Amino acid sequence: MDTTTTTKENKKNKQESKVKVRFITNDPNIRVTDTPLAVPVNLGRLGLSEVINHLRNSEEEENQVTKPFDFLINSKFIRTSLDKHIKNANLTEEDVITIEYLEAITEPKKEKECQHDDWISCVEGGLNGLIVSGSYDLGVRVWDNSGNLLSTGTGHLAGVKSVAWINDKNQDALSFVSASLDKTIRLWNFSNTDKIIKATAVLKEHTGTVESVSISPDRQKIMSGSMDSTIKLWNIKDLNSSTPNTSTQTSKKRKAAATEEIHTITESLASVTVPNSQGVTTVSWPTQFQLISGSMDHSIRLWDLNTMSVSETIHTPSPLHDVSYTVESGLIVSAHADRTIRIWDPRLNNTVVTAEGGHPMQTQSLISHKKWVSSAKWKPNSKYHLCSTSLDGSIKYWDIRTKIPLYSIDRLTESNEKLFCSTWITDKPANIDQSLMVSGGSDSKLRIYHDDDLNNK
Amino acid sequence: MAIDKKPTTKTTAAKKPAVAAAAAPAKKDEKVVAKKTPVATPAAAVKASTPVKVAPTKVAPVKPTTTAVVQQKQPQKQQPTKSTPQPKKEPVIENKRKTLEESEDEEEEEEDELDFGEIREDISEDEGDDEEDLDQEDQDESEQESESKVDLDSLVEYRSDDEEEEEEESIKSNTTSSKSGIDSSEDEDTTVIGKKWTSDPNQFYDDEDSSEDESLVNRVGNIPLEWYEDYDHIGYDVDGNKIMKTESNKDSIDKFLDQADPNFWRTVYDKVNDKNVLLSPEDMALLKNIQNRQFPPDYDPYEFWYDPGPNPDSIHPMHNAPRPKRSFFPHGTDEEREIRRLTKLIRAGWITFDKKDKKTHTYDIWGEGAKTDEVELNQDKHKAITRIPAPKQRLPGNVESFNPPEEYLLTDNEMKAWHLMDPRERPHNFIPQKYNFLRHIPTYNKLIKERFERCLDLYLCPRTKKVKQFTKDANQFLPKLPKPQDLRPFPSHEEIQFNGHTDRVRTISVSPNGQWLASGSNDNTVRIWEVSSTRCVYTLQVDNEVQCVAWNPNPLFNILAIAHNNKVVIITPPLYGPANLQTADTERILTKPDAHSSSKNVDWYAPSDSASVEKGVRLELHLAFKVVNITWHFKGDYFSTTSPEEGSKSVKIHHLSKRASQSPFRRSKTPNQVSKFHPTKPIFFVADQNIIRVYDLMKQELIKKLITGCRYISSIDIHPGGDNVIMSGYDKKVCWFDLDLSVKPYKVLNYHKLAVRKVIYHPTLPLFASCSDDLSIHIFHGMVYDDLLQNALIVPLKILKTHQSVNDLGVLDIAFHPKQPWIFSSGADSTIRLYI
Repeated sequence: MDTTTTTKENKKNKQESKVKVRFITNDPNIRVTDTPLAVPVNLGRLGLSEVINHLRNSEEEENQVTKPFDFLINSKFIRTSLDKHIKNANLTEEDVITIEYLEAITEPKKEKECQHDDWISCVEGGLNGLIVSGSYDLGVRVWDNSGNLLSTGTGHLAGVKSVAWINDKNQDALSFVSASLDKTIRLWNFSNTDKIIKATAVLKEHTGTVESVSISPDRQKIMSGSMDSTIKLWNIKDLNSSTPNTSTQTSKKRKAAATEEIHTITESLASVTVPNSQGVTTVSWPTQFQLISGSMDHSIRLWDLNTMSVSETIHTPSPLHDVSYTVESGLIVSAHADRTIRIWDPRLNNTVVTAEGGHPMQTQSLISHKKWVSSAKWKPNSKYHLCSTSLDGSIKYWDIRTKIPLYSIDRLTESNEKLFCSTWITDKPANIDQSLMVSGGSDSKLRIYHDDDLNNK
Repeated sequence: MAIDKKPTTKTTAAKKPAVAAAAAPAKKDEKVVAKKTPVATPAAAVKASTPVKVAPTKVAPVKPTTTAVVQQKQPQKQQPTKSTPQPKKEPVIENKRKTLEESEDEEEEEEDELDFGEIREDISEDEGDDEEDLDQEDQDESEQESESKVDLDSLVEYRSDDEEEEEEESIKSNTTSSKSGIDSSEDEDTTVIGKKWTSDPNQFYDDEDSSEDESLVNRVGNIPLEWYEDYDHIGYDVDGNKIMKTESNKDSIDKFLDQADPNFWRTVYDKVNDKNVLLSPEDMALLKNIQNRQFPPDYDPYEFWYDPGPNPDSIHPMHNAPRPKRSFFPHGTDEEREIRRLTKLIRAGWITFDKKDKKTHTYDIWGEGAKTDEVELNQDKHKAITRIPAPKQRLPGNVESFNPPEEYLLTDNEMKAWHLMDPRERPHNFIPQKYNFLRHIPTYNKLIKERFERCLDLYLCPRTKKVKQFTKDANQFLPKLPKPQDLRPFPSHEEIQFNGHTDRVRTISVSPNGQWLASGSNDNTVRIWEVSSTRCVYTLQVDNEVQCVAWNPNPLFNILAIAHNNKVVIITPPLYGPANLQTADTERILTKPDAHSSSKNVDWYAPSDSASVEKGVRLELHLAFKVVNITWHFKGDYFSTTSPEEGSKSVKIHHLSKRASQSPFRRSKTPNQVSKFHPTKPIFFVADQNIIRVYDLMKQELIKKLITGCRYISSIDIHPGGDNVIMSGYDKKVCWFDLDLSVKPYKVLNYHKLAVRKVIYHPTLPLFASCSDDLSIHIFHGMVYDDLLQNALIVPLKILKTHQSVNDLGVLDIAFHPKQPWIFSSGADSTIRLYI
């Protein structure tokens, strides 16, 4: 250990003082030597990136493309110069500091705009690269991952508020569900071969607008939340299986054709009225036995499926617009009307009050949006990444290890457009990590953000 | 001083054998009073030194007082044989100095030297003189005082001796006063050895300098000397070298041995330099004088003063002799006895003088602080009764004049009136009269009475001094209110805008569940917005500018009432699909067999054209005049409309399910402006331009009249509790009425700069808000307490000012979200804004 020399240098010249670091990474493609190196402490992200690039070039003797990297010390992103970070994190320059690095996530260079007829209220990406979107023009649409409209389904009597894929694995019998302002939920089939959307069932029991739907992990049930302050569970197992394939006619005529074919279900499997909720705005069914709902009364409720009772209530400071749960880390992210994205750990003890006076379960709050946050979604299979949209027209990509978004796409902010939804799509089921973002809003355009040409993929 | 100097010359003096012989007589035992020795030695010396010039003046002062001791010794030395007292008087130093200064006379100088020499000689051979002196003294005692100065001297000697002993005690606090063994010669000797004198005339100055330096050896400064207790040194000299301790290191045996030193009694310990200093006889004399409160030895208080002769202008006394002491003696036996008693007491220690009655002031450091003490002190200062000046009397004016201007004189009629007037009502209690000459003025016969009454007034009327209340801090006039931060939640910033209207948005209303926002605009459209997405989900085009929109407050119904021109339109907005798919409750209340009805100048229609049906228009009411205001009853079956132009029947109450209208209110001087239903009771509020009337609908009577003091009421709202009303006026006023308290405003808020358009209560939270043409929305915390004793708490929270002014119109309408602390506002800039 050359700590003594390091300190000597430190004395010699403060500017030239160095710190011993060891670079590690999880990505074998960008791995460099893990022997400790002495780097100047006044380096920032860029300087460290240069160091890594230099190491890679010297090792492999190739002229690789220089890439930007991000660096973490103890799972905290370095956002200032190294010495400031070390100072703030109460580390000592005497020790060898282990720096984890990974390829920096940069703003996607291109975006694909897909024209809608009306405001897009909701969008959902499947693993197959298919996108389903709901709009205020009463229609639901299915797109492929390069932005081509495959089919449009009609049948709702008012704007669609929420969509969700039920089954997107089976290429032949894809199905999704949509919830609408007309108080109904509709089930749809999408045949990838025929590129046809077909309604299979209408679920009518809500007395208020249905704001959100979610599918159970076993894809047998769906959960819906409504402004009538109820959460309902519906069984869709039979519908999916017994969907008659006989009707090959396109149901373009809304009233005549569709009503004959589709099932009408007026009784839910279970219905729970959420007391004092002022309307359930968002639901999520992440694991088999746990349901999550968020409502206008500022609370996130965790439900036990067997008893359909509230197992936990998290009181938040503001009305909720979206909740999302990641199984990777077990965290809940919530989008709030007070411009804040909050991250909750439901496993923490609810009764212990933290020193800061915040909610005991709240682990983080991400504040960067300028208006209320309309949606927040975890990246699939990711512990740290999520994207959020806001009525200020910006979409932000977050890594929860830093308080500053990795990047923010706010081309719409100047035109005063609003974004309501965003989601992740993956072009191939195998390549989950390479997710793209899709967003929709009041500019009536579905936007797919990507780096390379979509068609090439 | 004189003694000191003489010994220094011992070398010269040694030359004089005669003197030595004179001194020879032998050494008496040392117990003989030591101090006599100097007396004796001069005796020998003076034989030769007679010519010393002495001022002959001081005969009288030779008194047996101790002060004279030292002085007198010297003369004795010099002129023992002379019987004249004069030489005694002359201070030796003066002599010497004179001689030196003059230095005319070598002889004299010589004699001086001789003189010194003699003293030197004394060192060895004083004793004989002593004996002589003793003898002399013995004789003297028997002799009469007046006979010779020698007697006096001896007397003096004795006394001085005693006193010196005392002195020694006092200085050294030495218990062993073995002074008997002290030999005066030795005494002299030490002094002589201590200072080596030459005949150099400058010796004195040198000596003085050196002595000065000596006293300043220790340069530690004026610090507590205990700091050096533990060290071997006592300080540092000029060069920074340590000065080692000498005296204080001595152990007790050494100290005891020091006592054997014959000069021990006049040795003083110098703390600073840690040295024993031998007091010179001059010092002793000085000390003695000080002790006896007499003049220093070389000061002549009774100097010869030349009388310049009688001066008639002289205001000064002719001589400067001090007042005779007898003038201070007490007169009479009583006084004497008293004084004797007092002195006795003082001596016994019964009376002490330095006992000061100091009041130790204690501070309560844990109490309210020094402030109260200060206050108390100040009060103590002003304890004396302050004299309050009597109120001044009015000065006499022209009326009181003996020659008043004509207009003050009363005419006959006035005179009559005057006499008829009650004396107390008269402007003054006399009749103005004119006299041509001052001498014609009669005596004022009421003088004594008035003086007496004035005295009574001054005596009996309590007077207080006007204290000018000066308040330093203007903040203390402000009421104590909780901080706005503690009163969250309340809307604090603009979040989103609802854009779509093309003209000023005159009215807005929020649906009971807070999901929808309806707005009516001057562009003749009614729009409904989804609050969460700002999406306009419904638009209805009407024929005229929309005056008012109002959601039915019953959440079961999906009914919106719109007022434009003289029409009221009841619609069921097709928010959840086509208009015909409404809930059963909504359908029930709107369905009635006969499509058309008419009552009290109100025609009810059910439009049947397809466009209207598709837009959800269910009913239309045609009134005679323009409707500006719609208010729903909380159950949703009744609503009331106001059309100010109609006059007495301007307020109508409509029954929706029965499709009936009535106008029960007649009394109103000014056109009715707005009306409101009580949130829970069958009570109805009607406001005309400046009065709010409260009616009981069941009993059909007027309960209350709220006097607003406002000239033009723009809107009123009823607190959800029902006991409080707020009112806004176009004259910039917002008033809060507590119906239990009074019919007058409990609080008047004058915050807005322009006409206040609307004032509303939050349905669930303790908030209220007012909006004005000055573009601002004021959010207040308005907490109403359940107990009747506590008045409502009103705290201004926030001013929201984001609207833009168009044609001098600002914010036209505001509406609270029913559950959230959100407020919607619509303005003349054709936007609707949501503040959260």
